[in-house]
Amino acid sequence: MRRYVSICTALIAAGLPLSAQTRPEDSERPATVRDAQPATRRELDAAVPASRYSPLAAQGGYAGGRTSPLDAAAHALNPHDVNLGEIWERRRRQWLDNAGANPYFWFSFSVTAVVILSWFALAWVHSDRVRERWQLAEHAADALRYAEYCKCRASEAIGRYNEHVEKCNRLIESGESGLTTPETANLEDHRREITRLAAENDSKDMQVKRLQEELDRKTQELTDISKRIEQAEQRLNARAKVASNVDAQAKLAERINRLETENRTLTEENRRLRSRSGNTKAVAVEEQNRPEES
Amino acid sequence: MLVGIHSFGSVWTRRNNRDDAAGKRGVAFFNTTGVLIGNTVRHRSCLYGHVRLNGSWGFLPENAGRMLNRVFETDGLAKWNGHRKLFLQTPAWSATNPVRYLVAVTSEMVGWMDRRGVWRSDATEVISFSEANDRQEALLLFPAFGWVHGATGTFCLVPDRHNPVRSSLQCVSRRR
Repeated sequence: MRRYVSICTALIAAGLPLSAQTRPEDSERPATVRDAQPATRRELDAAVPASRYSPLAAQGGYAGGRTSPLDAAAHALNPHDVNLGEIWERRRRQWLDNAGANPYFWFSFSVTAVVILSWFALAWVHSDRVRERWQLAEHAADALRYAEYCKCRASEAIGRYNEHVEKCNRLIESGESGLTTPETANLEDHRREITRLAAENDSKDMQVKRLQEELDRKTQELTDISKRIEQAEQRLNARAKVASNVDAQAKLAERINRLETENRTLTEENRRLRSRSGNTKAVAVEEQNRPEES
Repeated sequence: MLVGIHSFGSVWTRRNNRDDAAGKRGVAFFNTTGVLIGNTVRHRSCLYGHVRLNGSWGFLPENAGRMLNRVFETDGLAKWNGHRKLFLQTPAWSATNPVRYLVAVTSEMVGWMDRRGVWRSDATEVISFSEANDRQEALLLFPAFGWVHGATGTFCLVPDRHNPVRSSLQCVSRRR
């Protein structure tokens, strides 16, 4: 509102000198040098005609009395050759003489201008007020929200404080009596702890189950691999046995051959020795029989 | 740290920034939680944080579904300007064993989560949490076999046996 008053005051202050300038003395302004001079070239030509000092102009100029196309067009538009510029100038001068020199005109003009400007000022002030109102509403909403938030936080803090004091009281009571009463145990805490432990337990169960499945899978894979290794070992052993059997048979055959050869040699030797020893035995038997007979 | 993407939050925002050292104009996308109010998803954050992805490597929120079950390189959860921020830098195409999983959990999935009580495992980190109109949404960073507890029961994040990049939220116990 203060701004509106100041704007109106400023406008009125600006309007007053404007109206003061429209004094009646202006209408009695003396004619200046410019006013005394001819305004246009046509006026100049009217004052001093060219035919006075130019024979060519006295004969009718280069046109020789003929009309140019431009003049013809102008004549078609203005057949009576009415000097519109002169009329306009005359009426302007009349208006200036009637209105410009009239102080009442300038007074009413300035008042009208002030009124129109004051409308703009009013619109400006109104929009300003609306904007301020919106800002105020936003600030009020912010303040209300902040108050709500503060109340909420305060109630939380009060609740925590009460809980704490309650715990302290229970601790003091239990300390005085030396016994654990049901009130000293905070049931809500225990419930939370139980919930937490149950959830942890479930999660661990899930993890253990997954790990057990992994372990079973690994064990199965390990068993399969062990079986395959065992089978491979057995196959290798069998191959080794077969290879060793072939060698043994060859050695055995060689040995048999060798032994057969030796046996044959020994048999011949034995036969030969037997044949020799048969003769000597017969002699010895005869010599032994002799004393028995005697 | 390698982070596997299980799901994103409901709210995507975009920002054109000129913060690069080279003065290049880049586009950054921010993902956070929100709840449905009327026909609009609004923030209503109890705990605000966001996941940032740069558009320089071709990411668009319209194609966010293609980023699921992928692994990203990150610096881990950090605090910036008072908010929690997880910057998913670039996709690690060859990585197969993420350390953490980014999961968006809603009250429609697990039931009402009591934030003042026990509702998540200790190793699970909260990025953002929105709550309004009897609806909740939380953006969590789970380890393998991390759990979240709601009114419906306890749900455990189980990595896939054959492809650990994939994970699923499985109910391990129903509330009786």
